[in-house]
Amino acid sequence: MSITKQVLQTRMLQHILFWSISLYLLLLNFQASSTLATTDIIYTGIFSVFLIAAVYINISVLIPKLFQNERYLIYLITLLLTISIIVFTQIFLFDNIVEILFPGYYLISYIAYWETLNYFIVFVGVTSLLHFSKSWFLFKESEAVLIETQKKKTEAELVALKNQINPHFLFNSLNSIYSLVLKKSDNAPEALIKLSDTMRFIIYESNNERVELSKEIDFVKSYIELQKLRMSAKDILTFKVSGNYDQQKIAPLLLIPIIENCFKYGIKGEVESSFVIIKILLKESTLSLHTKNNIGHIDNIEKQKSKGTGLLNLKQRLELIYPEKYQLDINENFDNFSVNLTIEL
Amino acid sequence: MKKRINKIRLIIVSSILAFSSCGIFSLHPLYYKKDLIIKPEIVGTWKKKGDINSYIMIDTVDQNFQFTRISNNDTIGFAMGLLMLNDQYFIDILPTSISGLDMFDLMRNNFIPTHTFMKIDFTEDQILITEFDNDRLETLFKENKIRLAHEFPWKTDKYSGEVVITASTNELQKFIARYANEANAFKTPIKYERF
Repeated sequence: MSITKQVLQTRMLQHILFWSISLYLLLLNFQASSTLATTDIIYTGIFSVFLIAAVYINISVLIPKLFQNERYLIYLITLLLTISIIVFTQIFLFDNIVEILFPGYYLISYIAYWETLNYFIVFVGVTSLLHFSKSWFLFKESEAVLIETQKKKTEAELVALKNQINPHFLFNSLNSIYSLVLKKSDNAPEALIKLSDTMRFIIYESNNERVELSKEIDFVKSYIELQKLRMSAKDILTFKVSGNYDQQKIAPLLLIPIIENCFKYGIKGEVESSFVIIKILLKESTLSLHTKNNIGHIDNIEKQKSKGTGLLNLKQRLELIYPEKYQLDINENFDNFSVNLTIEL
Repeated sequence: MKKRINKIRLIIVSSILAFSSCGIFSLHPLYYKKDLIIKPEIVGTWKKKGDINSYIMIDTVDQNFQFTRISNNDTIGFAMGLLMLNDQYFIDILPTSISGLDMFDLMRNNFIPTHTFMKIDFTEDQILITEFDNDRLETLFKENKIRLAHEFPWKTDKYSGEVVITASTNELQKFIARYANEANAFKTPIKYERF
């Protein structure tokens, strides 16, 4: 760190620098004749002592006790009263005490009361502004630190949530393949291939903050293809995507928890007919996802306690990534379950 | 013609120095117009006690005092202001003419007339004029003990010259009011009796 920077950052040095410059300027102002005399130095010194007192009473007592507690009127009145008393005392000192302190010297104050008051008001005003500007910079600095901390916290939360999705998704997919294997279905090998496709997206794309919406939809399509392998002929699947989504981007793995939910709780194998409706619509920058499925019994392998983990995770992520820019409505009745999600991308 | 002007200037300078070595030189007057007092009792001709060749004449013209000093064959005219500071009368005199010649006409290009202040006390038959002790005042200025705007315009390497106060009227009044309280600020009063 350079010496200049060190000086500027040290509070005491800042004050010494400020008062040195001020005293020099006051000395030039109070110099009575063309040459600087001892009397000018003594006069400026005494004048400055009162000035310094007024400035530090304001900065150390009045601003913290009154101004910062939003008692502005009382602050203003107290400040003016304090300055007036100090100026009066200063003039009294020059008129009556200085001749005792400095016998043989004629240190007369020629400045009128109002003019002296002006000097004090200017100094107190300027130092108050410096004080406030410094406080403002400190506030901005701490605000920036706070924002940065908040951002890091959010990022950490998102990573944690995404990390929850990956095993959750894998777990659900493996359940589906497991049920195919149990049935000794010929579709099991193809299901594994589809799973590897979806895992590729998760591994290579989901670490980005945003992915192309087309890739996210392709991922959804792959997942649906995977799920179709375990559907019976009686099951009805409606899947529609509409809108021009080539230019849009979205946070990765945002749609999949809802889609997953449809198949996990809707498709019940060959026991009875089931239905799943999935509609994705992009209108300008608004993405809508509507899903509806019937409610059946849960696959035995899925633990009851894990029910809804994906949707809860989704809500948390939406709150972090699209605060006040999304709407998520979940409706459940005896027969079916529907989800409506709208996001301003 | 040029020789005549030079001679007149020499007379002027010597006359002023002869008289005004007794006072403070100041660029600004000791009074504002509002401070001026008219006291009819000081109007008249006054003779210096113990000196048959020295007189002063005080007169009023248009509510202003005229102060004339006659010493031997020299006559110097002054515009005079009477004022009171801290219950004490002071006069401020500004040279206007020498031996009947208008100073402003003669010296406009070469000189700036300065004000001189004196303390004055008066009764019906007597006037006491007390001059400031110039030597003491100049010493105080040289020792930097007086904070009052001033210059030593005639200062050379070997000669400090007389001090000329350049402070404003307001500053002068404050200083004189304070300095006049000093016991050794003045010379011995000069007594004049009504003539």
